[in-house]
Amino acid sequence: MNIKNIVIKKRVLISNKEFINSRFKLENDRTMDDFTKNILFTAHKLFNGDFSSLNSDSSGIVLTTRTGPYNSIKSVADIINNYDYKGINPSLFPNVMLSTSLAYLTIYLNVHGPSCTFYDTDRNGRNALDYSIVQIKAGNCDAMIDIYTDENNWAEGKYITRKDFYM
Amino acid sequence: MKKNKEVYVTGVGIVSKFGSTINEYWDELNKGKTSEKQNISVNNQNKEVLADILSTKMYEEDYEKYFLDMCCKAILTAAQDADIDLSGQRGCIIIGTGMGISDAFLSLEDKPADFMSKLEHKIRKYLKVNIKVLIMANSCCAGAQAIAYAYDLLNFNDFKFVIAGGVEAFSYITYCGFKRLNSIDETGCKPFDKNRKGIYVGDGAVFFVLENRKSEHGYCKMLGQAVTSDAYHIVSPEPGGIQISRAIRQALKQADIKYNEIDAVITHGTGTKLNDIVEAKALYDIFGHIDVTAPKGKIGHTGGASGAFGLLTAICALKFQCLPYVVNLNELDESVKISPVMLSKKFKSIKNIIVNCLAFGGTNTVLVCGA
Repeated sequence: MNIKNIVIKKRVLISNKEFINSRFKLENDRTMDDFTKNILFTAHKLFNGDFSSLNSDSSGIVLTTRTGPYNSIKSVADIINNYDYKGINPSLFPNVMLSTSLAYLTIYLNVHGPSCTFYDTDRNGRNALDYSIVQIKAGNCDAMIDIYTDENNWAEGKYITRKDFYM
Repeated sequence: MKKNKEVYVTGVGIVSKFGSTINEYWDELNKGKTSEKQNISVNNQNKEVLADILSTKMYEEDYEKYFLDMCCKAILTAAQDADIDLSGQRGCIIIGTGMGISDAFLSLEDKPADFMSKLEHKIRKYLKVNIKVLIMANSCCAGAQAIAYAYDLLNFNDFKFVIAGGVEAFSYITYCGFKRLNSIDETGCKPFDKNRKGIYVGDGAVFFVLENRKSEHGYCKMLGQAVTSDAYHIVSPEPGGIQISRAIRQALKQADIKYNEIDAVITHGTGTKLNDIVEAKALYDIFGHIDVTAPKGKIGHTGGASGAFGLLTAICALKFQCLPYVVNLNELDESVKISPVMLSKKFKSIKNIIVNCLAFGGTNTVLVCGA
């Protein structure tokens, strides 16, 4: 793919230890699982907590993971096996879907552009990078926030834009 | 921005309780239905569910196999239909699925950490090919997003073809979650009806071959697509439908057609109280009293495959120049100002049609296709 005129403007790597030590807290995060909190923490670090320069309508998001919300899926499956649907906490249930982490992140960054999630065995997140490049080249947005994370593991954030795009 | 290349749907593969060919699916869409309770066994416990599904034995036999059979048979049928050799040409497969193989977690065996993403390898192994496989997992709009991305890839990559669509095997995890959220209508899904109470669960797989060439089948031409995000709530749509409207306008702009050139809309139409109102409002704001239909009244909510079933319904509407009626819609909600087809199918000239797909979490995907 021709990647001329597309640049990774910012990049951040977060270890699981850094995430745990950060004790990252948000308002109303009571129903958020750690998988999602790690994603939001990565986005927070990527922009040093200042999202004012993001253009809401012309920025998109792509999330990639090998594990997905493994612990939430396992936990809800265990509850169903023991108590059936009556045991499910309706506020925690949506955490089994990758779309929930994505929704939390779009809200956190107030981003209205194209957003999407991939399960990907490749830790380099090449598919997400391709997706970001294609979205920008197609004119679907000017910038993409690309977050890779796994359950209980490191995370990576990238801010990808056109070369001539200024924040 | 450079002008987009032409993108056509050249092959279709369907695995559904409602048929495995376009003609069978169309015949079923136009029949009324009665809701039936099914019994499934999860870890030797009998569960009664209200759902239209291909099998009730998937948990007793092999859930992963149930998923893979459904997914790969639809892919292989689509490839055969378009006369595509999966091993010999440069292509890509994009799988849209909401829950994937999550329900395998209901078995008592431990799963490796990368269990969910390994689906990609399992699909390649099943198909016996070394082609690139992407797993998009953005809940209800995963299938539509896979198709939207395929459209872009054919414009900005050098793939000869992209096979894209959606698959959702019945998920007892999702069923329980929606039951707990009081979102399942025990009397069947009634999109846009005054007495609608929620979704009805279905399953199945639909995949399409998309290429930059016309085929003899001439299913449809993909004219444009757009994806936007509500950034509003984890499960509820933004009440003003602002981002849905924006996605429609962007898709029309990409397709280079005006709103009055759209003849009909295949809605997401879940039959839930708020979603139908918001979607109807967004559509009315752009199109006024446009004719719409909602296949979920008949086939139920097929999760990540629902956008692919939406495109399949659009292809049927273009082929038969007719919109199927919304099954179970008996009394239109007074606040719905668009025109859902009621009680019997409606023949009309259809040149351009829109497919709406709106995900749990607020991702809105719109596809525009033409004859």
